[in-house]
Amino acid sequence: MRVACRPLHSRVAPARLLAALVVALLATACGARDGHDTTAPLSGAVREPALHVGDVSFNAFRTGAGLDPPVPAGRPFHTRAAPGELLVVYFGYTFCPDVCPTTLADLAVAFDALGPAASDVTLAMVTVDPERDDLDVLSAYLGHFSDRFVAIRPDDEDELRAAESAYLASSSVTRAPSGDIEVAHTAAVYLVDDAGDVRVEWPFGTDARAIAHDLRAVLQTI
Amino acid sequence: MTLRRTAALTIALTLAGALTACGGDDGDTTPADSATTVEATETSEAAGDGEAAGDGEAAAEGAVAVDGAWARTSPASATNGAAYMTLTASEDDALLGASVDASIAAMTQVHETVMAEGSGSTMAGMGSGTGSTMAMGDGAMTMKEVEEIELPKGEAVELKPGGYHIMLMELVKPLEKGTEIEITLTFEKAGELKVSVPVLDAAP
Repeated sequence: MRVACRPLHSRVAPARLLAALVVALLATACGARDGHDTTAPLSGAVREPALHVGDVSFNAFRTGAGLDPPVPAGRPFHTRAAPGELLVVYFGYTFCPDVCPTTLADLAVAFDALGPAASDVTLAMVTVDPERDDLDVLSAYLGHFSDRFVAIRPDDEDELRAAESAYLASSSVTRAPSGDIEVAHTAAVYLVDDAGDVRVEWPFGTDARAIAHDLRAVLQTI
Repeated sequence: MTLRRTAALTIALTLAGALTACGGDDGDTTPADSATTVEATETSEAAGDGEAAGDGEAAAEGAVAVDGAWARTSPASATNGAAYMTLTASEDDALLGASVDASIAAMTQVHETVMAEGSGSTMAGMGSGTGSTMAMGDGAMTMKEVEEIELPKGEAVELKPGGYHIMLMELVKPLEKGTEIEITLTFEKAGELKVSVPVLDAAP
């Protein structure tokens, strides 16, 4: 399994390449023709039936200054968007130099592309490495990408596993004899609506334009 | 004339594709395709016909050409950073390691992002997808330190997000946009090469 993803990086069939180009151009074409085209298919993956994650909750979280109104403190945060809004949920960790910042940077670009509508989207990141990521670190980290964030640190393993179970995600943190800490985590990004349902999942590597397209399309439906 | 016709053809193809896809509500439109566009575009050059790409061809015997090097800006609280580039060796070689000055990071390793053990699920059964490799469902990703990256003669080997990368560990200070860091690459045959790497928000 370790080598399973390597061919993707080393060789891409011409047909795939052409298809990729057409789809990429298509995103532009649809956007230019009608920025609110809700009939255009979503770029990410859609499950039938949708995952329900609105009951997933966390006790320890901190919110960014850009959230208006602020998420109420003093009670658990549920991974469910505010009415009429969307919540983007990601499981990651701040020591992650490659996958997480790549994903978060793409999300930030997508949020910018939304213009004023970006104020209807909140970014929530759950650290899968709560031993090293406290809320100070995680908040500062997320603030680099957006000020509309909810930084979440699971209280314990049970809380994290329950959340991952609802999202069909997984993670592990293992300490090698050398002292190196190896973290594995599901790298998908989840778009959750105000009913607490996952509307679309973006696999790692989904580009910012595709994400922005999906955000616009889903925003039109709520 | 040839150029013009090619452009016209491209536009026609694009429009045809756009109309088809926009008009239908075919859920099978591939989520992966837009995701891998950049990779596909870049790797297509590398995959070519075995000829050295760009600078690699002009490189001296035993040399390694470095293209498109960049390091990602790091959030203030981030401990680790990553740098990416494309390497083209003029003869079979291998990247054995990388290092930076202690004023930048405490340690430097060459890493590869891979699917975690037992997490190879793809998009099968989902509402869309082409079965391309990606992390979905329980598909977890992790990083492995690699001992070396093989650099076959004339082949452009990419270090890029989601694949090989140079991991800068225990950053002394954040990597700030507009600055440059010097990374020393060590090759099996070409020896050491110092590369000036700009810090950017996204790939150049």
